[in-house]
Amino acid sequence: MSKSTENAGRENKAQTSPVLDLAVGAFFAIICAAGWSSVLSGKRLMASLDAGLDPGAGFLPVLVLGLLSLGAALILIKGCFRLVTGRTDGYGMESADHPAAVSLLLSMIALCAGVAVIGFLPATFVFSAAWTAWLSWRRTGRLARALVSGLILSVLLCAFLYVTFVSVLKVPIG
Amino acid sequence: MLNDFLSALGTTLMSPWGLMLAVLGTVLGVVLGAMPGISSTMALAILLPISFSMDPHLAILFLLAVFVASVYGGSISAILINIPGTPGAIVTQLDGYPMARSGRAGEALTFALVSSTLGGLIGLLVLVLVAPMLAAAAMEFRSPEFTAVAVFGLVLLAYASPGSTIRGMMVGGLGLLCGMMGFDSLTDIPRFTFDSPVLEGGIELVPLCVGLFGFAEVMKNIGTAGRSYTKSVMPAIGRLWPPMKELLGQWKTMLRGSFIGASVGAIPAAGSAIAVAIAYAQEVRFSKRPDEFGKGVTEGVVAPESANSSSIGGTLIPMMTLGIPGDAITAVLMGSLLIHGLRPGPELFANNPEFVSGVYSSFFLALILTLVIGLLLMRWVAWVTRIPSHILLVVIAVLCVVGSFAIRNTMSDVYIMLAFGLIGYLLNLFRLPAAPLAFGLILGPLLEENLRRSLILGRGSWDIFINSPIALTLLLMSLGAILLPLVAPWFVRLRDDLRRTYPTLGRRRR
Repeated sequence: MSKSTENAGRENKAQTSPVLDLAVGAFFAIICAAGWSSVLSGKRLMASLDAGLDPGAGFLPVLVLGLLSLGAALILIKGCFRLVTGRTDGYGMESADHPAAVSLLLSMIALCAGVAVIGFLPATFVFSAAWTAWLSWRRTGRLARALVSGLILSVLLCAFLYVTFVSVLKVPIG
Repeated sequence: MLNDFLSALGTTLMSPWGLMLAVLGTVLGVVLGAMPGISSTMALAILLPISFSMDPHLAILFLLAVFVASVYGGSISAILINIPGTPGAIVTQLDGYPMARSGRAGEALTFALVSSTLGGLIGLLVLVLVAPMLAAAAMEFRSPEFTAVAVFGLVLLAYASPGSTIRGMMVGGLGLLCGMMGFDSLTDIPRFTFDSPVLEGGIELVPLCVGLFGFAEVMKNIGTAGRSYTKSVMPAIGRLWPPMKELLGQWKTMLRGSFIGASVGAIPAAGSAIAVAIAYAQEVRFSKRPDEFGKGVTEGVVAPESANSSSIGGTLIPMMTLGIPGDAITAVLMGSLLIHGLRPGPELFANNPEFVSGVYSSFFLALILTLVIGLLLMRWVAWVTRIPSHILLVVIAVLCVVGSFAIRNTMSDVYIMLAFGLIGYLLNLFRLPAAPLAFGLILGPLLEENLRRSLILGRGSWDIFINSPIALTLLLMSLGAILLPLVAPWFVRLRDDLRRTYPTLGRRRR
């Protein structure tokens, strides 16, 4: 497995590529846009800014969003400038298998939806069996062995969840 | 102090349930820490939900056992297969693996375990000595000082995080925004809820940490997990105990590493990875045979492992006394305390001293159990490094879902966890540090509450921060930390220009 998320960017003290700058700038710009739309549409929140001595519930959101917007704009300008002037060197985006990551995220959302329909443990069984079988098949190329390993892991995992969370910790997932 | 410590230790030892939890936590910590790719943070994040239903003392005992044991566990895979189980074990592999390759794997593991235990004990000693003094000093703090502490903590955490400081602070700002979601505690005005019932209750620290440090890792690694792999060649464990003279002869190295670890660990966000690097570098400097480092010298294992373990005590100091998490792991630990209604800070020492003693005794017990269980499991724990990563990832993904659900028995937290998993994945993709997001969420309420109270007390004037010497100093240091990375390249360029213009400048006189 690769390095952990908490250490992401450890080697990033050097210059970043303009593409990465634009991506980072866009990431923060989208967040700022969503934040500003929420703040500006909240009439009570904006009115709280004129609430006497208390700077109000809107004070820190406006301050933080303002600073974030400024930072996002500067990163975008830096990226555009370097792109225009042809200085494309530096670290790019971290490599990753995006289709697999997106598939996992979508299947997790499906798992959450499945919980409401068939219950926690059956949904977990289907999810873990499918993923283990697929990953095992991709690893070994043997379909029967992959299916068996998927089934075994799912049964063991559901048994563990039942014993730990339902029986001992009384979490209602049964 | 000593009486409270012994009393808390006695209570834990007399409780079969407590002892069982401590043993279970230690075994899980060693096993999870030994698995490549599972950091201590991830291990804590996925096991955190198990502690929700426990009494706070038992919860912290269980989590500290996992924490301490996983720190040692990280060295197992570093020594045996040259892959650090945790970021803190990254330096241990430099000499640990060559030792293992030369038939001294068992000895290297024992050196790591013993130095880890001694380092942990020194870290605990530093914690016990320093934390009450710092907490007593912090009791004098008022709103302006706490505002400055929150700002300074946030800046320092972003500064020490990997990558660009400014970008780290921007991620911290994102964390502050996340901390503001839901209803404002003073005025009950909704903020950033987007009319969604899921967001009206605000964002809990635990689903954020589980998503950021657990699910994001799974998303990142799932693509490579199923691919064909090459099995690591695992050397034979061999003899476990090194000659006693050689073990005892390492006391200076252990002490040096331990004090470096505890000191560096106490700096917010410096973390174990920096502590072990400094300890290793210092050991090379002190050594009479520096050329042999990297080829399997014992000091190369002892120094970083002592520092790694002693940094735990250091990281707990700012968390316990000021409510500032020392690193991502203590942020997760803090999440557990918050779930149990305990807010770390100076008031914890004043209002709940028995809990503080419980933390000390739990830490001590975790260290001793790690030593005992580590020795017992040493010959068998190696097999966990062979568990296929795809099985681990599927299990962790499911535990992330169940764990997030278990916080409040609602699917809202699961969706929040998934959202932060995606954000964590994107942060990694953009080479941005994830930890400041958690720090922002933790420090946000502290900052906002005290900032607003300060401005009310100062009748709207910001002079209140200038009139407090502590607040002013901390704010100036924060400003310095922000400006330093901006102006440093200019100074470097100026120095280079001067050297080019005046080639004799800076040369030593002969």
